[in-house]
Amino acid sequence: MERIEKSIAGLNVTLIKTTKFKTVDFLLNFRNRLNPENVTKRALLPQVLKAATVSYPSKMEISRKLESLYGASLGSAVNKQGLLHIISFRMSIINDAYLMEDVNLLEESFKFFHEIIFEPKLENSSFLPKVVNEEKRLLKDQFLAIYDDKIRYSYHKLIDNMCEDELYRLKPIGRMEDLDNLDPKNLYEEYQKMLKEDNVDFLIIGDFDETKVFSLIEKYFIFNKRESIKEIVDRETKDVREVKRVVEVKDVSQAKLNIGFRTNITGIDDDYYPLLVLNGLLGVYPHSLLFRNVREKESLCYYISSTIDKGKGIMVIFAGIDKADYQKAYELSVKQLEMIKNGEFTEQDLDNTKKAYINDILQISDNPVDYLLAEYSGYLYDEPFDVDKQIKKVNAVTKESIMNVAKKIQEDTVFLLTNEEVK
Amino acid sequence: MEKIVYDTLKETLYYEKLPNGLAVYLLPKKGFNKYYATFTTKYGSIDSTFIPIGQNEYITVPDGIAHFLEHKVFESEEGDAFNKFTEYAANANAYTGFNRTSYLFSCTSYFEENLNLLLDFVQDPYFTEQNVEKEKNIIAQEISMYDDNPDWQLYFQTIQNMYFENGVNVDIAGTKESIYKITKDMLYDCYNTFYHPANMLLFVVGDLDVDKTMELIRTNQAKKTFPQFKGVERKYIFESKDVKEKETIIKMDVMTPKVAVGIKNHESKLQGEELMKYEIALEIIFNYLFSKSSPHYQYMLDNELINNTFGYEVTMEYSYGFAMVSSDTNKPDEFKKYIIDVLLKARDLKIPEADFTRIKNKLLGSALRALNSPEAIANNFARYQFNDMNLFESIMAFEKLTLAELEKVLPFFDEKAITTNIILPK
Repeated sequence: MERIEKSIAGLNVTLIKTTKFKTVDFLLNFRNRLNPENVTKRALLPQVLKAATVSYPSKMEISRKLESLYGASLGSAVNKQGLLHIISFRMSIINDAYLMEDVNLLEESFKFFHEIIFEPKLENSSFLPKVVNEEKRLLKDQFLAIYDDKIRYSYHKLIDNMCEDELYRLKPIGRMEDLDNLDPKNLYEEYQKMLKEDNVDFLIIGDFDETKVFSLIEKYFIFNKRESIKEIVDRETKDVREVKRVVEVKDVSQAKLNIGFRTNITGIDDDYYPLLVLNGLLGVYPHSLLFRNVREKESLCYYISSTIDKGKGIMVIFAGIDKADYQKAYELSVKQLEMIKNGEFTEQDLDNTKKAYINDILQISDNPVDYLLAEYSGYLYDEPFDVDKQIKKVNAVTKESIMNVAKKIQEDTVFLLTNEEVK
Repeated sequence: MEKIVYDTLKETLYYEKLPNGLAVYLLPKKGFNKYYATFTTKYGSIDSTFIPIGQNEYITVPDGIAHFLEHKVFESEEGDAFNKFTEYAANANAYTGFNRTSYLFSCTSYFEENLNLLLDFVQDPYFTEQNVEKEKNIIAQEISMYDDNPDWQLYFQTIQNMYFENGVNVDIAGTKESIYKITKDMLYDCYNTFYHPANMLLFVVGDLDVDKTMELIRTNQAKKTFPQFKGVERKYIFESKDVKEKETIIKMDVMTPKVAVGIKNHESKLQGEELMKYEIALEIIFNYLFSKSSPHYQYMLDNELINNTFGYEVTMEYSYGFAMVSSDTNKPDEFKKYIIDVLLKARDLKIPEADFTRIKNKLLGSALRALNSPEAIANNFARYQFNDMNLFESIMAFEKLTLAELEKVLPFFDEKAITTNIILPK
């Protein structure tokens, strides 16, 4: 794999050349500060842009165009990363070499991708009302759908309760109550702002001629210079005096237990790798303590995991349990973290966890999209994606460093979704 | 060892049938870090009535036993196979479907150790009364998890509406009642019958030394003895196109109603090239009718019958098959009527040549994209072989299919075969 980086005015371009894949994949990311005032508008923007362009004024026509490009795929997503809100557009095309006909998919696709970003169908210098209304309806359904998936719902409720007055409470898709105030005009203004002010990164992976790709980018993706946004991690936190406990009663057949912790360690901190390995030791793999001791030994659950947020330093343990086992499952889960604090894990556990992480890191370059996402994340956290360096950092984590990190972790909030009150 | 080259796909596949009957396929992928192997038995949740190996009479085992077995196969006398995979830095997993159970690992180091381990743990069952009992609560929690998942309920209830007797009408994990009936002896009966190497397939993908890998597998298998294989006697149930229930309504704690319209397949004995053509034809038709490029999709969006959860799928297997169209919708009745209307009219469908070509190109593109993923290939390969087809040939068959062949499948669209399942907020 060969990496080529270049800045073209307001655009940062990273090309990864490899013959491993049958596709060429593009990722175009717009990032700006996460802000309650415009997050919902920004969440709606990619949907509106993908719905109607000048030459392809409906979803049907956009889809037809994609199909005729040999099933090219076009996707978008909104995410948050620490203080940032990121709007992503993704496209994937088949490498010309695999097609029997003589076509130039690469240029055709660039042109099409350009049109999605820069040439929305307009009316009176703003987006089409029909499109905006439809996308508002669809986004509203997305908010409502969270409730229908009780595992996701309970996770969000934990965060709502734990980070009540913090920026972190904002979802990447924004706030449902904002939808009423969005209209074609204020959305269009937000779009102009995004084009002018966001930091834009274009990442491409596949087998191509880089001179050709650079000339296509210069032709189709012109962004003026702009100020760069440096801050990424979200340091907002609070001192936990007492663990908050919230029980919500809903009609569920299985109780969903979520335990939130503050680590106050983020992706740019020295303690990040020890935290990463700690999390692996706790609840990512089949050999992790939660899986081994709560599921396998005590048969208390089917799923149990832990996860950390790189931009904020929050850690969550989540599991589906029988409500009668709540106290036991809760105590046992928290105890696993205590055990890590006290160094009650073997060198072999530690070694296995490191090996598992290294295995994960090595697999990233086998998938074009995973690779682009790792590149981008590396870029954001000022640690360019480098497999060897990451492996070294994982290997450098010691038992002591993990125990030290564990001592800094504070339990903050417990959220239980269950079908009747528990004591 | 046989070498099969797929020129246009730039893939080369190696095959050997071992003396014990195991079918082995190797797919070298240059430049990949990851090795991925799946070891799959042609045995799933529908196979509950069969003659155990070495016996003469049919027995019927409790629902969910294939899935239960999948959980327990990981245990051996020395402990859990997961722990050994962990030592060799691999991710291991397994899944059970209606007609297949697959064990797999992925790794970037200790490839040979992991491959031996995969073969050894699957071929060395160790069930005790105690370890069987312990698993019941875990599986009961797995079932509870699915009970709370409306999409899962939507899907399975729709299948249950279609089938009277075929085992596809029971949840893969069984029920909380059925799993408590499972004993260690039943597990051994199922294991010994269906986990014979002659009923299994091993697929390995990665940056392989083909000769060395095949030799490792041969050596591993030569060390073990298995009873003679005379084929598996199991009861397949073939059903008419009539559905058991025309419509069901389930109440769940959801915000938005969910509707699935299912259509049952009656050509349930197709295998090989016939099945391949049949399913490709249906795949093309469903894309023509319901993909985002279709006027139907645009209509449903404009009229607020669907949202982004709208989807459709075609499943064709030996003894069962169906297509399903579903969405979250605030207009469940209108959605249902609209879909049924489109399905019924499809009986006289004429697809214009230009649309036909465009959709074929799209499907070809998606299939090629899937070849980027060693996991996707490995997870699907056995499914094709067990139906006497081949995954790579199937991709190339897209291009060859003609409009005339498409018309042959139109009897699929039959009023009698249609069922609806609706989930409403409580």
